[in-house]
Amino acid sequence: MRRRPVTGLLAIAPPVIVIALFVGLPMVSAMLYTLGDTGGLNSTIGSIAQHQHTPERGWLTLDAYREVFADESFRASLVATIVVTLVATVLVTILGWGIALYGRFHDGPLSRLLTGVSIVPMFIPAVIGAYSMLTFYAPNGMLRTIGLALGWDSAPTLSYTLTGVTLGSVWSNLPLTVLLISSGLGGVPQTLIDASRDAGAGPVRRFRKVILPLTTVPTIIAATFSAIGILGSFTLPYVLGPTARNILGPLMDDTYSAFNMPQQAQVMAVVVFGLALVASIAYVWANYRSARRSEVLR
Amino acid sequence: MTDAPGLSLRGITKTLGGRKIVDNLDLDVNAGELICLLGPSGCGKSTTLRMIGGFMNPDAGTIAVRDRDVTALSPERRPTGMVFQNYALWPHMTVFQNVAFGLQVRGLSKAEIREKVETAVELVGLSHHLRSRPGQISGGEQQRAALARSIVLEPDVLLLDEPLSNLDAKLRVRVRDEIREIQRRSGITTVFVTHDQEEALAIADRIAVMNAGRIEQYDAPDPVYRQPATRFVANFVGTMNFLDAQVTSAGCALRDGTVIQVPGVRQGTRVLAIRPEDVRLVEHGQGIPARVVRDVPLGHYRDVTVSVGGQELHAFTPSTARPAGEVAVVFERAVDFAPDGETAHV
Repeated sequence: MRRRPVTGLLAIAPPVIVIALFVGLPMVSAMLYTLGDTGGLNSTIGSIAQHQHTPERGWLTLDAYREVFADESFRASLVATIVVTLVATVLVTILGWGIALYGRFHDGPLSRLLTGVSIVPMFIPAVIGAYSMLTFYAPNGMLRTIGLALGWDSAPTLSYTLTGVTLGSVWSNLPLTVLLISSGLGGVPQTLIDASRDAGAGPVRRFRKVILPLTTVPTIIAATFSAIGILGSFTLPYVLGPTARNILGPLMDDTYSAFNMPQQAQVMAVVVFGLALVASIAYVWANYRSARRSEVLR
Repeated sequence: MTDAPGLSLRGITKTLGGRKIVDNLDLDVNAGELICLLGPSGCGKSTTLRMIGGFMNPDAGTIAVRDRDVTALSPERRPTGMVFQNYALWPHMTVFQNVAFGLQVRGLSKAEIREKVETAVELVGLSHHLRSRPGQISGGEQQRAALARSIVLEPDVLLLDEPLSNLDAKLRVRVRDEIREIQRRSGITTVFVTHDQEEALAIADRIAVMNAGRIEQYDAPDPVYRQPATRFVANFVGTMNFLDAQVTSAGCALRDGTVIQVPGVRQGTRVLAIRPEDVRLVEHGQGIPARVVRDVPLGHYRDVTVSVGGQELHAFTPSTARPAGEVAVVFERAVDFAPDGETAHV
């Protein structure tokens, strides 16, 4: 029986309205604000903000963008954001792959322990995790204490460094990565792997030619999720990162609250959004590829 | 075929989850021979095949291919090729890439790979699908692609794990005949696992009927069918009637006291095993009295159930016959077993 389309529309209307009202509208309004629109929904913030750019002629202006991009501190933070995101994403993907592979092909207490431990960060609030890591990486933290005890005087202090932020990002993104890649690996039938062994392929070739191509989609999805998460992270870099030349989250917060420059903070948000959009292209492509493959196999 | 064993299993034992899946199994396969491991689910036939392929290690025993002990070798290093039940073709590769994979692993040149792949796919009749991916070809074609992938590596032993179970009935018969033909042409020693007794009878040089991890009978199809060694084999292979009888010098007394004459049956409490095609229906008064209970037309023959001596049995008769009411039966041939079931007497 064919249902009338109006029933479907009514069913989907509530979430669409909520998203449009509480996500879509503020987003459009914020974007307009970065372009100098201080009327309508932006009138309140426009009346409070400092160093605000409004168009001298016409309706919109790119002056806020010019100002933000001219700022060396922002540019350095932008580079730091991109580098930390890329490095942490690569590291977490490699690490996630290693744990997922071990879990798939070794069924024992060590494998279960490793998988379990890698999932733990998911249940620890970011702020708790960040402070724990801070303590661990601090000049008088466990890392250096153990280093000194072992006679390593120059053991590094990773607190308040971008390396610390990178390691923290790897830690916090590991659970989702392991879960996604494990799930992808679980979807590769054992007989496909057995067939490659039967053909004479060793572990490396099996991984490269059979396992990896069959798990490209979950790998890309996992990497995209990690990248987007790291790009927009705040707590971890705020607690664990350096004061300046940190990733954009804390700088955005400072610009918004401490400097009372919401327009410039929102420009930075738009930039982060743009970067996340680039990362999400890979996600969209992976989903498209996945859908096409299932269509062919149907 | 030569007398040298293409494959030899000695004392193979495998226990899984505390249960003995394969129990002290011996098996010899002549070079160039196609044998079937036939048995019900859980009898240990696939486990045996996986141990031959190296995907499982036996707890005890040895596996030799052409007199070379391969028990300790991993699947990558064994001279065996496996065709999996679900074909296990790599979905991201074309048919050509699937078949070429093993040759690339062996480091052959591109020209050699192309030549060997083309020969193999021609052998299985898939030349027109070289560029297709597995998802774009039919089940039968996938099965043949999997076969080409194995035989292109020229294994000493080809292992087929229920390769026809995913095909529909008609295609199964066609592909079965194709496999037999390809195996004859290539001369590869082959072990074919199936639970389908008709498939085994049609394709095998010899059949090893397995039950509870042991081989109950290992013989050519005809003796397995006509002279089952155990009651299990008699029951599992084909349709079989079993009649409880007390055999004396006067004849075989059935449950209700009816005495029938069956030549060559040992005296004592016996179970008579009679194939439905060995039960001939005749006019009332010309044999053992019987009554038609059911008559099921099955196309080219009829499955007639008759009541004889208080027990029901099946008789296969020509489709033109119309038996009804009171009739008589004559047993052309019977095998007898002890009631505990194991030793047969033909």
